[in-house]
Amino acid sequence: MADNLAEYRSAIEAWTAHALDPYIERLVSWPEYRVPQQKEFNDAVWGTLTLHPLEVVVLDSPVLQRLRFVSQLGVVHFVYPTAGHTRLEHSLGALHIVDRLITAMNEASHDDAGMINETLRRLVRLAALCHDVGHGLMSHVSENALREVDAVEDLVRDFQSKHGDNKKLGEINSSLILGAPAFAKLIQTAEELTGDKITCPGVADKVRSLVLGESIDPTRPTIQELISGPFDADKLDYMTRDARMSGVPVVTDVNRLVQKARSTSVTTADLPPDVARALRIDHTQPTVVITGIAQSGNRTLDELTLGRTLLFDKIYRHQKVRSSERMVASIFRQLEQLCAKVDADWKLALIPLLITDDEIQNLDRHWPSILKEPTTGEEQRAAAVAQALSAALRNRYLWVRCAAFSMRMTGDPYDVDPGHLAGLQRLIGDLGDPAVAREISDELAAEAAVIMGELDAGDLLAEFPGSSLSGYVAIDRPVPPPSAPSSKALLISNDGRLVPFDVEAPETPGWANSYHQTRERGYVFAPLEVAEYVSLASQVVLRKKFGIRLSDSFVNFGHGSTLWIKERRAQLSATGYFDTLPHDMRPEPPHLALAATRKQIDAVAEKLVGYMPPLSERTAREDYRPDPAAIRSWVAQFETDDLADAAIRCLEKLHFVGRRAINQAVRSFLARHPDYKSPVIVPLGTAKDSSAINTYYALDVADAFPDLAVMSLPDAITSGRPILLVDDVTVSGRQGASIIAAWFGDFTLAEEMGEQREAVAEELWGRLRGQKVAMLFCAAFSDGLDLIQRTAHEHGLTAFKTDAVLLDGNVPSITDVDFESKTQKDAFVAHCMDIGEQLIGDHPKQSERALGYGNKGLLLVFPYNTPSQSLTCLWEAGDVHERRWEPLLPRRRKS
Amino acid sequence: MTVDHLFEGLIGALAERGVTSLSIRTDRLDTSMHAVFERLEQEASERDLNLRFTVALNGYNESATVRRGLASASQRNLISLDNPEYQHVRVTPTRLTQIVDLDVLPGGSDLYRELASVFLDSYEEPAA
Repeated sequence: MADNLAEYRSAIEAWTAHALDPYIERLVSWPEYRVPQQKEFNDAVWGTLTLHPLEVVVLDSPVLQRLRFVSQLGVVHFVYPTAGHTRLEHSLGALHIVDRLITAMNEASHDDAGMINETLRRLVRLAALCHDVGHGLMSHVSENALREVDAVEDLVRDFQSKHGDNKKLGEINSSLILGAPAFAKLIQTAEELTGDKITCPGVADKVRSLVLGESIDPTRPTIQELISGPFDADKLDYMTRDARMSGVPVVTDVNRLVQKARSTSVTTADLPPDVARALRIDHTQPTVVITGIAQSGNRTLDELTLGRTLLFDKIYRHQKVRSSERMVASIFRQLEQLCAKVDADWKLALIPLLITDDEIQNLDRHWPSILKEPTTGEEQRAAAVAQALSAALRNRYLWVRCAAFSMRMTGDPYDVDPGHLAGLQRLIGDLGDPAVAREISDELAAEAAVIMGELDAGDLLAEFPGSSLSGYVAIDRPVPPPSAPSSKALLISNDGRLVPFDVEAPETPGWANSYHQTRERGYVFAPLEVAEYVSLASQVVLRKKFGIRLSDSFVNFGHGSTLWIKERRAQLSATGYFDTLPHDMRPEPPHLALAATRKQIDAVAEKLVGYMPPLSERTAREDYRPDPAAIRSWVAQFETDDLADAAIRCLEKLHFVGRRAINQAVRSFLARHPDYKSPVIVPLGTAKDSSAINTYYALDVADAFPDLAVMSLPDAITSGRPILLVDDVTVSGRQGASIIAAWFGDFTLAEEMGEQREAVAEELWGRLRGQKVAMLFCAAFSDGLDLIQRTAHEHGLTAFKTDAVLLDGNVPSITDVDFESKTQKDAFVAHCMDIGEQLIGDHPKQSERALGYGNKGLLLVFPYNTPSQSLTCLWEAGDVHERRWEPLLPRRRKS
Repeated sequence: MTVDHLFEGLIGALAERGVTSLSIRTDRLDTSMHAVFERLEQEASERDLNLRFTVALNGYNESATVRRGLASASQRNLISLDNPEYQHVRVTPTRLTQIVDLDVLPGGSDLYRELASVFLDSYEEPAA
């Protein structure tokens, strides 16, 4: 990797020499009368700018003049038509501003010691003029595009490890150009030619250090911050210029900030320790000159952050700017295969210096000589895509948004679904790897092509090179906010004290970040004519790969029609496209879109608050709960309007037997049976049975029945007090009967059921038989209670009784649902039977359990589980005619 | 491995260890992340990791990569950046961190647990 950087340095030095040597040769041959003099320029932003002779020579050199053809804002002019300013204008503006900063500092300086001398002024001016000399075509657009090329990123990281991890390719190029021998020769020639000398050794090297933000003078350890620092000339110019040229109002009062620039002489011992350490102050120096902002001007630094935050959102991250950038990035991706100029992995890094903005937008008209002629099929497709995108850019036929995503989408119906949020987190994180972003973009392109095939849009697909959308679809992540520019500025008080701005205003990064975080989104971009297909593909791919649920309103973001998408989804459903996809991806029955239906669903969700599904892999991962979104998804599985309506009616009848119901059952029983004095509640069965939970709930009534106690069965028998066993539901009565029989050593029924039951010690049987024992259920059927009663009597329990709050016809079931018609009921029951049989699968009792065990189609649910007697399609997961079925109320099996 | 992967895994592993809050008032967080990166560089070849980022400290002992990683983690709801007293920013792992699957991240869960130890050793080291 280090060798690569050395090779790259050599290549840049050669490029610099190639550009400068003829110019220098020409300069030295000039007669004296042609030697450049001081020049004044008119600037649209700052008015008249003045350049010294040496600066004129540098400005006129090919490496600087090249910046005339590099758009300052890359592709922003596609959005803001007047933003056509170039890096050259910005470089001149930066020179002007840095000069004004120094003038303001010197004018406000109390003594000579705090002033910035002429040599430093000239060095800093030259650095400002040259700071962007390494920028390539379309400025940051090509720089960002190249971040996706591993070999280029390796170069950047290698450089960053030595010079700071905030350095980008443009700065690296600037540093290498300014460090090139040819550039030093240019400075030397210019000085000799004009007599305009910067009186210090190693001018080019110092300029290079200033551009990198590195110190050049131990007595003025912050001077480089005027070029690369918290309120550097670069920022002050580009913010003002970019806003002015785009026609966007700017909130930063740059003139006041410049007026408040200060430098002051500080005793080394008086420096704040972290400032002294950060600036690597040489303590042998008694004093140093520090640059900063007058404390009275601290609000201008806030304005700087505010201004940049707004510009970032309004200009630099404008969605159309991003779509254009993605198109350029896609062109670069194609050029990877066609870059023949240098035989090295990092060769693409040179492209921005070798091709101009105009050339990249005219690849279909003129194929640059540095690119090879395509020969293989793959190269020919890459060239065709690059040329088509190049023409599209030139004609401003820009890609559109096909989907939007972020962790904080306003109106996201799934924004409380942890599975959805975890998927978004994963997606945005993974997109930080350009290789993954490419992979997902290609998957989106491939899926869109499949969808186009299904929807008979093959002719449209054939218009793209190779009948493929690869290279025409890009997923673009939301990016983190830029760091607050002003946070490391130093404030200088009237008495010369230094106060770090981040101590004075620690809240600044917070509000700047918040503004960005709540606005920034990720997008999927594609050409307009295929946008809606890519929208559908985005829903499918992001759901399959990340579990993200993109609602329809987020896939026609800005373009496309919700109606079109709905219609196409219906068509796709008919082709069987959705058969292997999650149910909720299919078109929802229109019934679910009705306002009245929404209210019904909200009411069902309200009723189910308190339901805690058993933790399975799915429910734990998604933190599943039957909220309105989950209810909609479950109902949507019924697919037709009539069945969906029936399913909602069914849910309206669903009875949630919670803690309150258990309490009421116990209170009611004890109120009706005054002979149960000082009762003891005993769990029915063992600790694994749900009666243990109900027993715990039942103890709530102890406030009304102070003698109430909870005991184990042996203790309760020994106490001689009336025994009350509380449970949720019995249908056949076999569970209760098996428990009673087992008490007396009869395990026949338990073994038949495959249940582990416990016997009561034989010496207690006698006492138990004489004791009052009642078995209380929230819901029961007479047949079941009869079996329990008979079993109790058979084993000598003479004072045994059963009771139920909901009995027989009062137990809610599918037969009680207020269906719209008998036809609807018959169709729904038949459909549920079919689903149930599929879910139960190949089992001897398949047909007896299709509507729930016992086929009674109960509509009961408990806070902790759903009984197996409830409607099977409510609680069982599985495949139904080769499509996945997800239950609304997942059930945990007992064993 | 990207800086986002590192932060996701590290925050997940720190949350496992019950870390509820970190401060970025001092340079501890950045220097500790630098220590983590150094360990990561040592382990990279053995674990076949392709590191797509670098962490370098500036004079203030701050790293642009670390700040970007934090901002990105906040953007992805893995942490909240709170400044309730308008004094200094605190980093708090969020509930989403609890369902981070360390095993699907480059390097696997063992790596992030090891890096969490490196981080805490540095972060909790008494000031010199």
